[in-house]
Amino acid sequence: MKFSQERRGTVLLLEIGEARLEAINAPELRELLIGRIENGDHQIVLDLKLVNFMDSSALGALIGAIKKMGPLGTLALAGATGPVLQLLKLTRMDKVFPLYASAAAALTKLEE
Amino acid sequence: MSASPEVLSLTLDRDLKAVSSVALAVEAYAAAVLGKDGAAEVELALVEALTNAIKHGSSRGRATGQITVNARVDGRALVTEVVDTVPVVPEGLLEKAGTHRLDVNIYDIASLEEGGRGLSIIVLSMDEVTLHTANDRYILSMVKYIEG
Repeated sequence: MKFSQERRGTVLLLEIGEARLEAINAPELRELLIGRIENGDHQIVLDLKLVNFMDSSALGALIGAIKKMGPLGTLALAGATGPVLQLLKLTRMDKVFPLYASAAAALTKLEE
Repeated sequence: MSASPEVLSLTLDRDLKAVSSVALAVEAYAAAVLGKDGAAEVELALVEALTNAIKHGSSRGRATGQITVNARVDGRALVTEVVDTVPVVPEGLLEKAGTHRLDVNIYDIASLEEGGRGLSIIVLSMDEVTLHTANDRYILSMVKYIEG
C-alpha cells in the first residue's frame, strides 16, 4: 500500500497513494489504520485525493478502523471526490465519518 | 460520446488481482454510451459482483475455471453480464438487497458491520439486476439504462 504520513501536532495525516482501494488491497488499508490507532494515534486524517475508485471491501476496512477508534478519537476522511464520494454517500458513510473537502480543511478543524 | 463496439467479452482467472483490469475495460466501454458517472456505477457494480464471485465461489470450493464478463448495448440499455459456474451472488439474496440494507445508526458505530454491502451497492447502482441460469452457467445480468 503506497502512502505517506505527516504529523501535525496531535494529528496524523495519512495520504493514500493508491488510485484504487478494493478487495486486493483492503486488508493492507485496514492493517495500516488499525496499526496507527493501536500505536496511539487517535486523531487521524485519511487523505483520499489520489484515490479514484473504492469498493465495499475498502469501505469495510475503514469501518473496521473507525470501530477500533471508537470514543478514543477521530478518523476523518479528506479529499474524496467522484466515485469515492458517491460510494460514501450511497452507503451512508458520510454520516459515520467526518468528511472534509481537503486535508488542509480537516487539519484546521482537528487542530482547533 | 463515441460508438461502442457491439459486444465486449472478457475472461478472468478466479483471482482478485484480475478484477481491476476487467472492470476498467468495461468502464471504458460503458463510458462511450453512459458517460462518466454512469460508467463509474457500472464499474462499481461489476467490481462488487466479481469480488463476490471470486471470494465466495472459491471459499466453497465448488468454483472452477474462469469467469466471463460480457458487455453489450441492447436498445436503450447497457447490459453487463457475469457468467460463472457457481452463483455469482447467493441465490435469493438479491431480492433482499436495497437501500434499507445500508441504513446506519450513527449513535451505535460499534454495531456497524464491516461487510455485507456489496449486493445492495450492485442493486442501487444499476437499473435492473437478475440472476438466472443458462447452459449450466449462472449469469448475473446488470442493466443500466442509457439516458437521453
